[in-house]
Amino acid sequence: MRAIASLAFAGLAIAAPTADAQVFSSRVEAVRVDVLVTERGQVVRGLGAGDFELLDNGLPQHIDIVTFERLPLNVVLVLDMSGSVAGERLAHLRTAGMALLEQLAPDDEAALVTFSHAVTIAAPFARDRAALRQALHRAEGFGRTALVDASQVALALDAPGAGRSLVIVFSDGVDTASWLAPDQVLGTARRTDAVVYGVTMRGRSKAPFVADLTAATGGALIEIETTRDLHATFLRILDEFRQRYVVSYTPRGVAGAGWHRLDVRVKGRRSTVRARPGYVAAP
Amino acid sequence: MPLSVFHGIPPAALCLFLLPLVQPGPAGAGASSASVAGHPQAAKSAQARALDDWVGAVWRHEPRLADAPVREIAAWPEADLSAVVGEVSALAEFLARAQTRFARSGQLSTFNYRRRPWAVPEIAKLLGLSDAEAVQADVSRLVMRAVLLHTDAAILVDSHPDDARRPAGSGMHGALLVQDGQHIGSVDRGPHWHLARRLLALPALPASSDDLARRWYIAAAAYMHSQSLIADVQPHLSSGLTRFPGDPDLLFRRGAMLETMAAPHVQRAVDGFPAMWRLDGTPRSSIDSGGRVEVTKVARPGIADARTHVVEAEKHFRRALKAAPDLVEGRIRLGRVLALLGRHEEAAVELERALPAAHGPALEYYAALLLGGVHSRLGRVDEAREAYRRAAALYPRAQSPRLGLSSLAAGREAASSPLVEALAFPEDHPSRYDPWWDYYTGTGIEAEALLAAWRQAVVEEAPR
Repeated sequence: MRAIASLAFAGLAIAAPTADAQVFSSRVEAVRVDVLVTERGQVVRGLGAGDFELLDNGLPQHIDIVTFERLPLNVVLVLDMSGSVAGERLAHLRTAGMALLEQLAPDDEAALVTFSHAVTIAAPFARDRAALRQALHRAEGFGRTALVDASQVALALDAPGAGRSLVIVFSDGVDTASWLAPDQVLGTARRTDAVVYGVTMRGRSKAPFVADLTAATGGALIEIETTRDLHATFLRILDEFRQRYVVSYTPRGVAGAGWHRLDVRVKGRRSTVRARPGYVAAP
Repeated sequence: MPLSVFHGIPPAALCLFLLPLVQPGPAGAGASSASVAGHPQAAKSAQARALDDWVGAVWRHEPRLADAPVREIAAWPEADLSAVVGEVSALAEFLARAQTRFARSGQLSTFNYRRRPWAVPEIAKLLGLSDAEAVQADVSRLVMRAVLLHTDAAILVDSHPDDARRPAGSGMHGALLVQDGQHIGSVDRGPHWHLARRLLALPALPASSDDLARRWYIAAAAYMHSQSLIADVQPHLSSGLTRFPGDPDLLFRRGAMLETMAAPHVQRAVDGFPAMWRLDGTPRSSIDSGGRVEVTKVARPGIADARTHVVEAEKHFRRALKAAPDLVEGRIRLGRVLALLGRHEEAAVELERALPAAHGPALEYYAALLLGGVHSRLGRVDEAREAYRRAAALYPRAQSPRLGLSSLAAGREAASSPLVEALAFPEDHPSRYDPWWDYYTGTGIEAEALLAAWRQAVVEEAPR
């Protein structure tokens, strides 16, 4: 997916200088899918290309590469800074964010998006952890919750390099202020290769947006009891994401543009496979 | 007609809802003239003093000041205030009957009050009326000054819950405090808006006071909107529209109120309401001392589902526009509710019509932003981009049109570029202001000006 997006951008650069021109590459390019394989709650390691079966719009595809190596990550932390996140909660959030930054490798890039009713790119993608730490320290809780808008910003951020994209979204409430509708942001999610993990508070009145977003990207929704759990949760997410396979293939025999339904399975095992359900290919 | 010129910082995101079905207090609302005559000696003396004190406060109060008269009145229990207003109603009614009787037959009337007969001049003096007002049975000056007193009590004293002089609530005007879609407490909103409406509803008021009354309804509604006081504005506009059913301004404001009641931050709070009231899972059949009602009786306190409110909002906006076709903000909001109802083609028509007529950057911004959203839904990508760019040109770092442009982009770079520069600024930077944040309180932006104008009119038309 990312390869298709990248070449589409190349087509744009040649054909038109403006960022929103509508000329796209028509070449067939590789698709990359992040896949988590578990059995009885444990991550399954050691699988290769021959262990996977992948269907694109119902048609079996030849898998070119399965990577389990540590590819650089592009991590976007999307943190709720609305009025309810104050005092102790804010302290827990900062601590968890700092801990996540500490666990990133030197070639990982990270960005910070904070949101109340206002969404702010508090720190753009960088390897400089100091800038991110400062941004985390500065953030204060105030106002309403534009969770949907913030998710759009996180998904749209143009990550450097060819790393794997992880978005971690935390919110302690529900959206009360966004301009965009959930389905619009889900559309954006389907056009990117980011995997979204959502962290929400158990028991709050819920709208399904975060669950839908994580499902659309092959991520996971984690409900926590208290913000004290954020520290361990963020680290668990990072650890799990690093243990996902990256399955690459070149689509054959399927229509180019539009929605492609994906089915990823592990042959001969009763494994649970978590991957995005599909992707949107550019024309 | 309401103008919406926007500036300033985002709102505190606080709004209030009416608690459901609370029983009236023991004194009841609206003491009758019969009950006035029937009180025991001690209570009657206290009540006599209450009327005297109230009349004194009415005439002594300086508009817009939290002076001693308004603080004194704001400290009274609701039952006492209600009794006084009932008394004023009875006395005004007597004056009207006496005037009619005299005009027909030349006969003088007396009123059994405080255990003896009172003549018209005495009652007029008690109420602070002039001789001419006594002859005409015209209580409008008193009433307008009283409405001013109670309005200022509501705004200047009741709005500050930490004021120790506020009386313990009777629970008649309870409201939920909601912030960011979550319940954070409850409060007794006080009786002053209600009392002001009762005074304006006195049958003895002449038609000449209608304009001042109407302007008060509009100014007060604007204030309530600006403060997100849904608990107050619901009954207020219902009463206003009962009295002035075709008034386009009131119709528009009611439509805007309904639009707000359908908004996510209201609906999310009400979604959580049953959970908030659940104690041990056992339904309660009566109101307990905490004023809580069993969940099964009222699940959603005065707030229906979003669609119900949006459908009603459309009706009100259309009626307002029928009476006042140039009501631009009404047309913009009509466009929005049509979009919420999925009628995007109709929404586009209304917004296209409103856009060239929008006066001021904020209204133009709303029209362009909403039009961008509608075109996006209709798959008209170029038109959507054009509309979003127009909105973005008015408020260059406002996030909403940039988010709209981002959502239309097919590639990541295109999705990112509208956002990066603007959203890198801190959220409290003035240039980050987005009028979308004020959309649900926007109809209240002229509240101060409307209230000031109304107060001035009262001073001029109802001098002391």
